[in-house]
Amino acid sequence: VAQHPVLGYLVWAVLFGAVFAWEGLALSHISGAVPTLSDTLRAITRYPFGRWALFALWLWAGWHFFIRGWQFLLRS
Amino acid sequence: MIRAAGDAALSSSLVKSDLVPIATGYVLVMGALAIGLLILRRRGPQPVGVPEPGAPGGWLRFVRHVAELFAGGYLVLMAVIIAYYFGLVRVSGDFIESGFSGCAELLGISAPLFLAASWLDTRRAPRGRGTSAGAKHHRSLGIKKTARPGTMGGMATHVALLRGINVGGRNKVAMPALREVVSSLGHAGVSTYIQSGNVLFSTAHTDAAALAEALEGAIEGAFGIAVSVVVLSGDELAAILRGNPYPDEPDPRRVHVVFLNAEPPRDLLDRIAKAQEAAAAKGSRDTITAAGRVLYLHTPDGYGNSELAQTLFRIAGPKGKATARNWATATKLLALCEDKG
Repeated sequence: VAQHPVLGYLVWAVLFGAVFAWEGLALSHISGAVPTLSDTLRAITRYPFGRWALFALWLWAGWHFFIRGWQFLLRS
Repeated sequence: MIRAAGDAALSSSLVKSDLVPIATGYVLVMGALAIGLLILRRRGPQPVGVPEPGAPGGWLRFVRHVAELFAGGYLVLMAVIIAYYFGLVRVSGDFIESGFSGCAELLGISAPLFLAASWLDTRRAPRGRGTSAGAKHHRSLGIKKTARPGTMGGMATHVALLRGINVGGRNKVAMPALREVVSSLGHAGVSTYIQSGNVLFSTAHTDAAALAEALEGAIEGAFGIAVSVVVLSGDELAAILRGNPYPDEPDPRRVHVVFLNAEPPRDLLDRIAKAQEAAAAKGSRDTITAAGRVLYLHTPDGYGNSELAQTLFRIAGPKGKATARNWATATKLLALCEDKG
């Protein structure tokens, strides 16, 4: 078993926690000044290059998750 | 035997340290995106600019849009892989090749699913709204539909301009909540621009005054504030911008368009003319030009300290049916209308 899986879990937890905290904050912010993830994604996908970049990021994640097998943040 | 035990331990290690957390993370990300999509779908059918397949010529545009996305995304990623892994990190050619083939494999697997999901997303969004409370509210106001329900055919992009929200801490209205309210009226493709109350939506309804009335009622019901709303179609907005009597003013913040719900009556125009004369007598260069249901306000010495602007809203705004946008905002709204097609 990896020497520091706990650190890996912790980092993932922080990343996802930040994302959910952001969404929660955006949905509860009365002035609407904080954009939701939807607003953010829409702002990005509004432009062709934004769509391509986001799709490239999605492909990149899929490549690492399913083709290569990700080691990042989970193993030494 | 020892090797088998070692393999089993390795598999267990892989499952525990890699597969479970990565799968959990992936499910969480997909769940969050699904919720985001759900929210977007409730707000409108074309939140990311996906062409509607059911519209005339829409299938071709839809397929071209998806093909462009796939090709563009793949090429961007390949460019990054070559530039980073090959150019900077200097990894082996096998690795680069696995990137090319692995991503192509992913594309092949995801293409049919992506096409189907995009098609469902654009197709399903407009349905069901025809029986919403908002649609019933429209019928109660006598608003007629001119398009086949459940399609985008015949829908025109409109702009709703709200007066005096989120100004100086008063009349606070959250934009996500505002979009929900407008969507609840059965309008499609709802989006907002900045915080000052500019809403874009598509609808088959054509009566701007009735649309404005419906919006005012829905906003008051949702937020408890009485806000006047001016609605105009994208074509009307384009015509208004084409009619700019101050095309030589280079600063877009010094030309404002004051949108009214109806053409100003004669007595109001007379009072505006007198206010302009009074301002000119004091040395002001500010001018107002009326055209249809808009007033163009030119403040070459600045809008913030324009006495004529203050007077205009004092005499034009008692009934709250006038709202102004500077030229930058107005042109941006038109561009957004055109983007929505």
